[in-house]
Amino acid sequence: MIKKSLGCMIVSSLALFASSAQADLYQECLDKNYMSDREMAKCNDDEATRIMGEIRKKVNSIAATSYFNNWDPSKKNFKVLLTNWENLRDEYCDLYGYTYTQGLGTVSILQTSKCNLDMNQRFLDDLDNIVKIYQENAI
Amino acid sequence: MKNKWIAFMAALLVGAQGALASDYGLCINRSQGDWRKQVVCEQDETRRLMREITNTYAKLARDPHFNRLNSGKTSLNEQFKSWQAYRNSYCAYWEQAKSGYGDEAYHQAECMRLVTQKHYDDLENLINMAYAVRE
Repeated sequence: MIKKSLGCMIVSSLALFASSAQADLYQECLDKNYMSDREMAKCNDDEATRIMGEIRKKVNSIAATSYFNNWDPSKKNFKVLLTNWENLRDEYCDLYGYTYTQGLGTVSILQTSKCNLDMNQRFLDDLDNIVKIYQENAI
Repeated sequence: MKNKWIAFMAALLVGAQGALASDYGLCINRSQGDWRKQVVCEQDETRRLMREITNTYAKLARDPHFNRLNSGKTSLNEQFKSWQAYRNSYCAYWEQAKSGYGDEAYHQAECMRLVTQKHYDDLENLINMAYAVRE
């Protein structure tokens, strides 16, 4: 039992460390490229892609629980949820970027990429909420 | 005289908004913890927010700033449809995560309100930003 708890603590610490290292890399990328909107947009895109990877992992881990697996064995609903999310994010962020300069210049690109990143982070938080609710309910 | 009239109308509007916003809180208080009554509060608040969202989309569609957008109104319609699709699938998960105690209807209604509120805030953000950029 103690070994299991210790194992969980080590894994959580490693995950936290890895996540903070990734965040540092993102900040480093922004600091290095602060003179160029396009380069900063690329930093945002890379970070958004990394978070999207976490989203997919989280979705798969939710789908793998027996509880959700019984409800949706084909995982069709998960695919639908992800597609719907990506459509919403892309359409909202297009508008968001456009609002700045009506599509002209590089600021729109930068703002669109920042919006994509923020929306991905928000969706990851929303998924965490589902996991939290499920775990609280399962106790 | 005109300024006084505008100030009066603005005060009325702010008062009406305040009354509407507190309707939800009052409804929850009156429910005295009965989740069946709270479902009605959640649904009423979601309906109110949906009316606000529809008005905000209409405001965006009328705005020349957004009219110049490539596909203009179609783009806004697409966004609205995508958001509704996302809300419905996300809330299905939310409901499923909380299910098993017979009060699924409440959790579904709660999720719909929360996600609707978020989208309303996003749209307000878009409108405020559009005005701020022009100033």
